[in-house]
Amino acid sequence: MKRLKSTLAIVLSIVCLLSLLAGCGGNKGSADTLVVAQTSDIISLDPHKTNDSFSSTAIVQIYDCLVDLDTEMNIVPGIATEWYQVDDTTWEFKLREGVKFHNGDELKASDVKFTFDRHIDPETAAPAAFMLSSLESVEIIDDYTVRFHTTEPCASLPYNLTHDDMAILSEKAVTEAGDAYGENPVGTGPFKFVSWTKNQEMVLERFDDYYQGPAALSKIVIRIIPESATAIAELKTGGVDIVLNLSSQYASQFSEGSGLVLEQFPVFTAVYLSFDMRQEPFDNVLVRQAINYAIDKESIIKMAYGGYAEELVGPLPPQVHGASQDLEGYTYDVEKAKELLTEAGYPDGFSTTLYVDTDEVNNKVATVIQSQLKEINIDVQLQVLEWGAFLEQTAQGLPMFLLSWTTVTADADNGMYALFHSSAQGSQGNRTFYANERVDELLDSARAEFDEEARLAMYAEASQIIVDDAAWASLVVKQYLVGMNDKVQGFVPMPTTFFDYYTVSKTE
Amino acid sequence: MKKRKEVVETKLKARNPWAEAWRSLRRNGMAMTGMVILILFILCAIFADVIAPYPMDLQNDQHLLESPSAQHIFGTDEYGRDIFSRIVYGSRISLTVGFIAVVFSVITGGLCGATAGYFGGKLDNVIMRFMDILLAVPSILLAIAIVNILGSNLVNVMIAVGISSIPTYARVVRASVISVRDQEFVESAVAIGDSVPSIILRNIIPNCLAPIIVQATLGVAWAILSCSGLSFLGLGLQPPSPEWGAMLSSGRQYIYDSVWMTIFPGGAIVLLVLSLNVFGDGLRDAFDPKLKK
Repeated sequence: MKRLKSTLAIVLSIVCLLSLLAGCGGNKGSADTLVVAQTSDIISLDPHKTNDSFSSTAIVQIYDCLVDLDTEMNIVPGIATEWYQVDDTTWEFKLREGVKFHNGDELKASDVKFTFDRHIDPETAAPAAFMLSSLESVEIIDDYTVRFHTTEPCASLPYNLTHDDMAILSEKAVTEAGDAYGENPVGTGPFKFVSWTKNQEMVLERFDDYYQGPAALSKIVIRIIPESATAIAELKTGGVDIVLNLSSQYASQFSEGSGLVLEQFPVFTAVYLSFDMRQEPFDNVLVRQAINYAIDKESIIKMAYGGYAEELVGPLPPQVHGASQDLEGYTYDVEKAKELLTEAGYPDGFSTTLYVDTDEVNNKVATVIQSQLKEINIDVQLQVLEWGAFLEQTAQGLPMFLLSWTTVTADADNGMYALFHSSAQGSQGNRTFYANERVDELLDSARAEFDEEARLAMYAEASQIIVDDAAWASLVVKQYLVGMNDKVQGFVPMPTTFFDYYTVSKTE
Repeated sequence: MKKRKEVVETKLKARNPWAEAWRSLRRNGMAMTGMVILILFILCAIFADVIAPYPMDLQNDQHLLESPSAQHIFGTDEYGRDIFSRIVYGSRISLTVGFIAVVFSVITGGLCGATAGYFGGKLDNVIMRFMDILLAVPSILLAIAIVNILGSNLVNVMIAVGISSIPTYARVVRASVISVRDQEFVESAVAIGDSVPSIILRNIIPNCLAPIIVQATLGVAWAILSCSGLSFLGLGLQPPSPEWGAMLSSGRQYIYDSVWMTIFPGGAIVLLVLSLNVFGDGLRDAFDPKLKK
């Protein structure tokens, strides 16, 4: 009996030790496993149910689009090898042969048709469907040829198709999975889905039959680490390889010899302060202009972004296709702001509330704005709302709010139509409730215009009108920071914030 | 005859529990230190406008994240605001929250406890079981829940912190009321036909004050800590208010390079809470008859 007990004790302690070791092994990534950290969880792996950067981290790896953007923002072949315009309202795409889904099926034209039919179906309620608002139908010519028919000429269609939510789904897999598809995705991308522990981590595994050849990494683990400080600590100890969207205050941790690398690049994210233009006093253009004059963007960049941002003049980041480079913006001029406010009938200022989401940096921006507007006697209360509630309420109309927009297709249509067209008021993006007939007209005709120069001129005119109307107080263009350890090779910085880990490898 | 009266008088004087307590408290070095620090903090809060060298929310992009210097003795934060000035103004918030929340919960909890203790029976059972329900929820969780429902601002934080400590006072007061209510002077008050509220307020409560004061002093410390905790979690006061917990929370992001942003607000919380606790402990010892020499 005693002997049995001691044997049991030995066995148990060995088991304990082993499980400890196993715990260690799980934490440290092996040579061909990439561990990526981001602050919030993926919402869904169904591209028709999301349009946010946290979900994109996984969707980009699992799926492929018909066409892609390269680092220079040129459109390059994806699943489609070539494409051309048949007539004003028809585009034809030739599909690559032999592209395999993760379930082993080959990708055919019917899958493409199914994908886009599902995407524009009002019942799907896809958040990114606004980019396909002019798509009428998709026609199958043969197994490897499809035609896109649009209701009106759509010059930005190929750009819009580079968005990760335009990825091609497998008809069979979607139909079989039904409502559970968001957790059982089947794509054609270089990595396939393995497991997902909500709010903790998601595991993806190399797909060996990827049409461009298997990836260098065998596994990707996406970990959810809400605290930047924790993510940095994990990066230093090797628990994490890449930290996405790092706040600037940690930049000093990436000094030489630290074994860490900081990638820093401009992205198409325009941060802006806006108003519900239907509400007093923001219905008065003079008040909006006064606020524009009262904001010192340089201070915002220094205080909130630690220098990692650039001033934004109009509605579009300067690198976006269609952004006008010579807009007349507002300079920092407190006296002028006070004059305008007096002229508008508010010589003693007024009180209002500025709404902001929970993001650390956005809260800092709001704090700086609060103090700057105090200079012209506008008393601002800050109100922090959780992201979902924030989006919901700004779509109903909030007096003043801080938001940003990433022009993920690198084209002005995506960066302006949803934000300033009167038909897109509310949840689609025009949370300012801006309505200007001339701007509507310009945005509509630019969509249909195939002459590049004329199209750019239209966007330039619309942008200047928007600036003069002071629909926004344009603040900054973000610099995106990615923290990595020096074992990570081949990371491709993309201004669209869609990062493809197919090219990434790890050295020992 | 005359002589005897004198003796009685001196005896009475010596028995005055308040004077006795004060004598015992004065001999307690720790408690006195705590009291002095507490008084300094209170003066700081009252004269914040005079003491603080800068306005609490003055931003200055020429002096971001500066380490302590002659110009800014506690350094500056990410907006170039003077941390010393913010801590001075912050003492106002912390002490206000601490005292008002405690006064609120002492009054509500005290009345509940006194009623329960005085009447006993079914009423006692109902009130105290309700207090038990409140006690069953950890008080900080209760405060978080209340702030979430009411929204986060100064008044709501005080209400939340206040409500969550009501049961403690109810229990303390009930216990001392029970020990007092059967004594002769209460009986005589009842005999001469005093009304119940008058008996509770004029005869019973004054005789249970000692434990309530001790509990309240410690309660202020707890309230300040809770308020800072709520703000640290982003549920308390909103920016740019210089609440210490909120300052600590924002300083945490800069802890690698600018430690002064966390050390000073953190130090202020520790010092104030510690002084209240030490002072409260001293009071308890002073009022405790068993420890009297």
